[in-house]
Amino acid sequence: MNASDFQALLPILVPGITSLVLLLVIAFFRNNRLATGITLAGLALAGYCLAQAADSGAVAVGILFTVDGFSLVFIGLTLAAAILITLLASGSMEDLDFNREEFYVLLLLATCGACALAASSHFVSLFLALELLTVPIYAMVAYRYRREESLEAGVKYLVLAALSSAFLLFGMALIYGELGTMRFSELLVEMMVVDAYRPAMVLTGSALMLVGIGFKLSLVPFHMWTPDIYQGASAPVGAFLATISKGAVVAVTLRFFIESGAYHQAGLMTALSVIAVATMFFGNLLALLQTNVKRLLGYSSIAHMGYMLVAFIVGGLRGSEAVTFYLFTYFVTSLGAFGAIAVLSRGEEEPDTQVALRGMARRHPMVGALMTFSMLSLAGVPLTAGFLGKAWVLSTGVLFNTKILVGTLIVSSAIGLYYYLRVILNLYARDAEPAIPVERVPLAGAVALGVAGVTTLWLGLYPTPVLELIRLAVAGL
Amino acid sequence: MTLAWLILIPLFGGLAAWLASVVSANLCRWTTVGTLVLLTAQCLNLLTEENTGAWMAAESHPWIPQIGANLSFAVDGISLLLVLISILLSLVAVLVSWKTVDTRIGAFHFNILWVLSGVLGVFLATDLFLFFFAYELMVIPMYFLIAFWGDRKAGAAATKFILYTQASGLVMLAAIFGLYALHGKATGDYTFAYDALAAFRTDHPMAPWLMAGFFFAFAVKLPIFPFHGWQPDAYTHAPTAGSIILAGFLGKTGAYGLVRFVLPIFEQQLATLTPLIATLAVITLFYGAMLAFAQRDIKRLIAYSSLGHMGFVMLGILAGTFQSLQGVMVMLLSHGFVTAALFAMAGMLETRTRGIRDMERMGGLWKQIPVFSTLMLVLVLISLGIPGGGNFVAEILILIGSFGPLAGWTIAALVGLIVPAVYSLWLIQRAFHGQPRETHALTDLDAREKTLIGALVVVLLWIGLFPSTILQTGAPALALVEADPVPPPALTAEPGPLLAGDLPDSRHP
Repeated sequence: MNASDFQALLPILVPGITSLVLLLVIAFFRNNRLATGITLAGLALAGYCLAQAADSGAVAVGILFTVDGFSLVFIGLTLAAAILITLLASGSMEDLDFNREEFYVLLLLATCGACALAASSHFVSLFLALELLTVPIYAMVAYRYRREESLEAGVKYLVLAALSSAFLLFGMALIYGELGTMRFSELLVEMMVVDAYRPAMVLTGSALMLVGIGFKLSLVPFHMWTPDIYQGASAPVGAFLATISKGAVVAVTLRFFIESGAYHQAGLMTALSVIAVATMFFGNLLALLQTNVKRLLGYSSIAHMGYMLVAFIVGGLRGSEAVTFYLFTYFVTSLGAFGAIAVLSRGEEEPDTQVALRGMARRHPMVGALMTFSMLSLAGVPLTAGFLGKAWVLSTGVLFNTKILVGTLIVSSAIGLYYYLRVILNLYARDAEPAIPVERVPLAGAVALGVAGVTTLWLGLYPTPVLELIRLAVAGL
Repeated sequence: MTLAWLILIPLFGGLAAWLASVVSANLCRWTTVGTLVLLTAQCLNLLTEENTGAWMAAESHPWIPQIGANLSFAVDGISLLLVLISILLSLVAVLVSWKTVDTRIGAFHFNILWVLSGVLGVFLATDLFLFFFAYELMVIPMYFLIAFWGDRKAGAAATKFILYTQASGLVMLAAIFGLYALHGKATGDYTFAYDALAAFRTDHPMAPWLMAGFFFAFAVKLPIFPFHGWQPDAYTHAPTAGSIILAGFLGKTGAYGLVRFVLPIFEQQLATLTPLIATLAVITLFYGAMLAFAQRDIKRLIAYSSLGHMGFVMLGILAGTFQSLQGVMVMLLSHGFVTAALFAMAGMLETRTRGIRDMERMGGLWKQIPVFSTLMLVLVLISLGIPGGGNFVAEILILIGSFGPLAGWTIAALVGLIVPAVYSLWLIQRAFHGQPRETHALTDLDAREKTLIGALVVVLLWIGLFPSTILQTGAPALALVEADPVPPPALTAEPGPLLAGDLPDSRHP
């Protein structure tokens, strides 16, 4: 590994190294603010290394990683989201009475895994990075272990994620057994040689991989875990799950599909289309019945992954741009929505039910306004980032004549609008007693929420610079 | 930049009004009035521009080059008149609520100004993506206006309103992208610009679906049967200002969309569907009128009467002749003013009776509040189409203009026009005549209210007696829209009374 390889890998390595540094520091000084500071410094340093790595061109580090424009964009997005989530977590953990600092270690490790996932171009690195991302999340979900739901959610996630990883591994093994290589780009080369392999085996392997990926992205019918885990985890962890965890998997799946020629497998694409339609419908329909806002956000994330799949299925340059832009808008929106719940939590209690949030906007006007704005963005109302993201996906679908997908997107979006509005109306209800008396919103959380809100508005009005960036990045794929 | 300023001024004005409300409620109200007066001045300034049928003023700023969307604005006779009525009716809405709204004043005026900004965006946008942006955007502040300042059942009404509008809007978005795609594939130029897309004609099998997408959204907005489910509840349970805005100009965006987009671009496709849509229009007319007849709630009656008039508007648009389009233009203005005035009166009545809107519980109002009752009678007569009022001119023009292409439906519409007369007079009978039932000791209109309603009546009489200014302003642009390609002879010379009088002769059916 030479110097340029090392420079390319630094954005991925720095969060990992920071977690080790933090672990050592915790052994001597236990202080929430200090731990937050170190985490933020590490993430910012990673961002700086990212800027440095962006100056040089695409670097293939060994056979495992490819650090090109595409992965750098995703790593940048991941780091930014991680910074905001750290701020949100820091604020809400002030009142916790047990070990708080280990949370940041877990967060940094998972971020490192996510960054590595965005750059992986080999089955081995895919699996390792995925596990590095997932294992800390087990602990993060169950972090507030005194709450029964958190512990239950953690165990549920552990069992189901391990099971899906097994499926993923089996699928990768089948493909390797048939094609003799694990590198994404070489898979395509091997498949060009007709009659040298059995297509049925490759299809089976791909289908099994799809199960694993479908779990991580909470696509129907692998979505059952989502509402329970989102409800059990605290709001910052929910934000992490919704954004970084999903975003990294989308990035690597996109790279996998493009580089390995999976787009040409008709059976796989049909299956994906069916999954997309089911995901959009069930995500929105099931959310209609929810009274817990975090569960609702969980189902909403299912639906949004369905919308994203529409652009994913179209593929090509346009489709990949749309997927990436959609992730950008989805990230900021989710951070706003989860952030609003996070800043209002006290100790281990969070206002996550409709009842708890009733009339909240009257006691905290700014937080209420930001939550309203995030809900409108999730619903896809103009002026917000969520609208432009959805418009991009819709335009991609229409341009490439995918009638059923577009029709499903429209109908399910219309259904979706209803439950977001219900949340907004509830925030401004007149007849409520505060369930959790909260006087002061933590500063760190407020800053994070503000940044998320402003970015949602900015992306909704003037997306041009971000679109240029994405276009440049995706062109290299 | 003038046109962009027309949209930016209410945006900033709304923010200023909200800030001003922290200082005092009256400062907030006066800030809003000031903003609206400034807008009116800008608008009147634009009226002096040259009006030959092409754009009177146009400007474009780059926005999202990756998709071909720009911030393009332009105005012609049609949109200028609609812009003017929107601003004036917003002013009416603010003035009517002067004494009645005192909770969260800042937010209230902010929402009114932002709705206006969205509506102006709709009327002025010549980039289809921007058009959609504004179309959806104007709904959100309207939603808040209905939900937070309406009566007890306003929450459900607001939700219905926004769901219908946004869902139909999404269908239109798909249609916009479809048009964008077809145009791009055919000409290689991927753009949302109106001038490019309006000149585009295609025989592609998807074209009827695209037309349906646009039509669906506008049909929900007007509304017409059977897409009107949101309208009675929203109009009834909204606060007075909200009803004025909804009935006065928000619904007009649907008619505008039809005239601006569906008529020019999808002429062919529309021709095949005309019988069906014309039937729906006539059904709307009867449906609205019959149901108005059955109402006890005075606001709901006005809402259904408005629905009936929208059926009439749809008929005029479908006919597509120069005269019927002129009639539509006058109807949009006249109906806007008269319905706004009626809702204002209903609101004033509701504050006086302390919440009673049921006409069966009123009665004998004439003796108690004679000025109010007289003005109400005048407005009701204008609304049902009495000669001298704006509605009469509109109805005559639409009927004569539609008789050529849509004879049967026009006759049915003519018959349908009897019912408004009945329910309107019955309204007066129930609420104003006879013995007072539960309404006693009401105070008559004060100076502010008298001036406001008086001004509206004067405007309506002016439209009814001297419609030529309006007809002349709208004529050049409408001539470009009308289905018959032969321009009317009056336009080669200077537009004159030919357009208002001499009606049976100047156009051949």
